[in-house]
Amino acid sequence: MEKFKFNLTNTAIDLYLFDGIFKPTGTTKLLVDSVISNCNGVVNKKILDLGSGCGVVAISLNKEGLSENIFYASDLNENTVECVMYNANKNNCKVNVKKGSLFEPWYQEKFDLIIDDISGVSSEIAEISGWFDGVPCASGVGGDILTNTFLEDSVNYLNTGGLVFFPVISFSNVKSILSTAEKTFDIVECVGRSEFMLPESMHSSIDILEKLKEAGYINFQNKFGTIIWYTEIYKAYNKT
Amino acid sequence: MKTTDEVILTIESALELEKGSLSMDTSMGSIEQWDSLGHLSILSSLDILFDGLIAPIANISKAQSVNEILDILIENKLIEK
Repeated sequence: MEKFKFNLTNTAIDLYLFDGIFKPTGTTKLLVDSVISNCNGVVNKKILDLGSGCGVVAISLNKEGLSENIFYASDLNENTVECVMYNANKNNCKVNVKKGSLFEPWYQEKFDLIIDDISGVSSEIAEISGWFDGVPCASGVGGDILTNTFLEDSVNYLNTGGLVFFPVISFSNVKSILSTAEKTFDIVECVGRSEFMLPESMHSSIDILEKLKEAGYINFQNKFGTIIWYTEIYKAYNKT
Repeated sequence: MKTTDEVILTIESALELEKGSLSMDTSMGSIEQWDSLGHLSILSSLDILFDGLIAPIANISKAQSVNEILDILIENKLIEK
């Protein structure tokens, strides 16, 4: 079990990672910050953290005062339930956590706010990045399979007036994901963006990245002698 | 031509530090704000200061301290020694 600190705006929370659980990245931090800044009207309502990993999103939102109610969380990983419960208890957060793929554990449930933190990078990049050490990444070569399925299904699990937040990473097929979002929701807004430098450990795989970019699966910029990629956070909802 | 002081001010601003916080020897990792995100913020801010002349410099992302950044800017004739 690995302990780490996750920084919030005014504080930091201690979290623990069980075996095979995804360690939060800069994308998770941007997602949490973007939800907090753009979730107007959804305070103290029913919130689902999908692809919860160690429970970082749900616990962070609780700590930032978004809701004192019970949070809902799920992930595909075997150790999810135990890990999220452990972290929630350590941080005095109430959570209903289930194991399962996408919305499978939430049959006939409806939420006011659904936050997607499932794998959203090209599976080829997942392999070379080390970000998914021992964690499955079935997002396909375009990194869009899971996010597109999430978006198409999410409308069936949203209460009227509900919001969905999801990250789009330039190491995935951005066009495909945004096209699905726009077909599914009336309003799709970019509410957060952060750029990142390619980690040194991935420099030996630049030829793979170039091939994926050439094939239209991913995008990035060559600047400052390195590769710059980005994450954007989108908020989607239907007009009521 | 821009001055060393303007470059240091730009780095301080990119890292959201107060004026006078940085010395020539300050390096990446020696202050909390100068992590990989802070590093990219420095490069992007310098690129704006120098009207897009920083992005094409191939070794600038490897500069790990104020001194190393200034050396690269001098090498590229963007500031005077």
